[in-house]
Amino acid sequence: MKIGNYNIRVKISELSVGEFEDCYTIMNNPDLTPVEKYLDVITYLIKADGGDTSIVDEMSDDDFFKIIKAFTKTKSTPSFKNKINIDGVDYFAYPNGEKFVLKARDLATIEKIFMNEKNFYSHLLAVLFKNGDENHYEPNNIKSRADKFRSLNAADYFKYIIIVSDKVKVKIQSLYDEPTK
Amino acid sequence: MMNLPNNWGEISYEQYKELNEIKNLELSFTQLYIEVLSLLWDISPNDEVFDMDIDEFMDYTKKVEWVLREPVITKTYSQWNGFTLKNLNKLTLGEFIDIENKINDLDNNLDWLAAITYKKIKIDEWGNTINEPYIYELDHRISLFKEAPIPLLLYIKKEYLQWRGTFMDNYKELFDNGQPKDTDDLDDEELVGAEVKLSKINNKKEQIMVKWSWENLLWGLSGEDIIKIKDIFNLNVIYVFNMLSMKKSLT
Repeated sequence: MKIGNYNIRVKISELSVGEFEDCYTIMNNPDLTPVEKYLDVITYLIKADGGDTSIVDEMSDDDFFKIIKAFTKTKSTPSFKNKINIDGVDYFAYPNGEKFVLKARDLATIEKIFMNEKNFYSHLLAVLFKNGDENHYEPNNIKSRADKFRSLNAADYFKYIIIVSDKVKVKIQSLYDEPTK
Repeated sequence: MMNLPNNWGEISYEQYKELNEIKNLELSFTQLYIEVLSLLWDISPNDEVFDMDIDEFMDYTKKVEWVLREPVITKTYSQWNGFTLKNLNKLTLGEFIDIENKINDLDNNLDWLAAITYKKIKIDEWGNTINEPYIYELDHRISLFKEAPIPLLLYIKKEYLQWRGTFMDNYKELFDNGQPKDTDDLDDEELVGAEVKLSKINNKKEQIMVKWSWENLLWGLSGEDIIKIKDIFNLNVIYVFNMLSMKKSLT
């Protein structure tokens, strides 16, 4: 999207999984003010596109707030692909023709990742997408797949983040709702 | 759906101990319940069973979340399987010492506690209840109480700790609650040279005294006559401590 003199990627479909994770890390940095966070994200994206980051210092407040608005208001429709193909290898979250089922063992691994890992999106995909490897859950194997998955389009698999988050929320709520023995 | 226990009567003591270990691990919600379910189903946490859908998994967790809470004991267990709970005020010194040797790890030794406090009884010709003497094979008795229901084991734990609290309070002047200082706690800047060495020697002596404190008590009570120690074991613990309190008061 062109805003003023700036070409900025504002849609999730314009980002890779890795870029999304890096932007997310910046936006959740408790040491930055809200304005600093957005400035750092803009700088990051311009740099990723090979642009001159010094132009950020000269940005007018008008353009700055237009960009923030574009980040927050631009709608994307996350897709829900069941397959990842990387380096000639196919990984599936669920078989073709069937529905996605979040498995307990996957969620246990995802919870561990969530506690320790800032690159949550790529690691979540590394857990959910399998290729029949019997050592699928080995931490080193998860990390290796996650590193590869950072190059994927962020919108193509974002619905998995939503589904997992919703399941976790429902799970926690059910603990409060159920009468105790 | 796989079977799960419905109450503490269906959980063995070994499972109870393992549940306590699991509770002390820092696990996420799902990991915790995978560990609990694998324990209750006697399968590995890596078993394919846990490839189940999260909704089905949540149904199972709701059925077992009660095992992560400490059971509420509402019933008294004065008798079980032909054994009767001894009046704790009638514990002998030997029984008391044997229990105290496990007091710092009581949750892992509730079978030990029950094996000492539950006795076979008989009624004498005058209608008095006589407890069996503490001469039975303890290991065998412990093995029987490993099969006792968890509520019974927790009941005797509660009863004993309550009794012990009152006992310790009544004889607090006879118990040294202070712990010997660890040599690492010594401030070597304040002590120098020979003082440091002497302090460490005294601290070591104190540690040895704490280690052998019950034996030291028995040795003193027997008048340093090893033959008499067996008789002292059979004295009522309250009687012994009353005598010790009197002696302390008079001296």
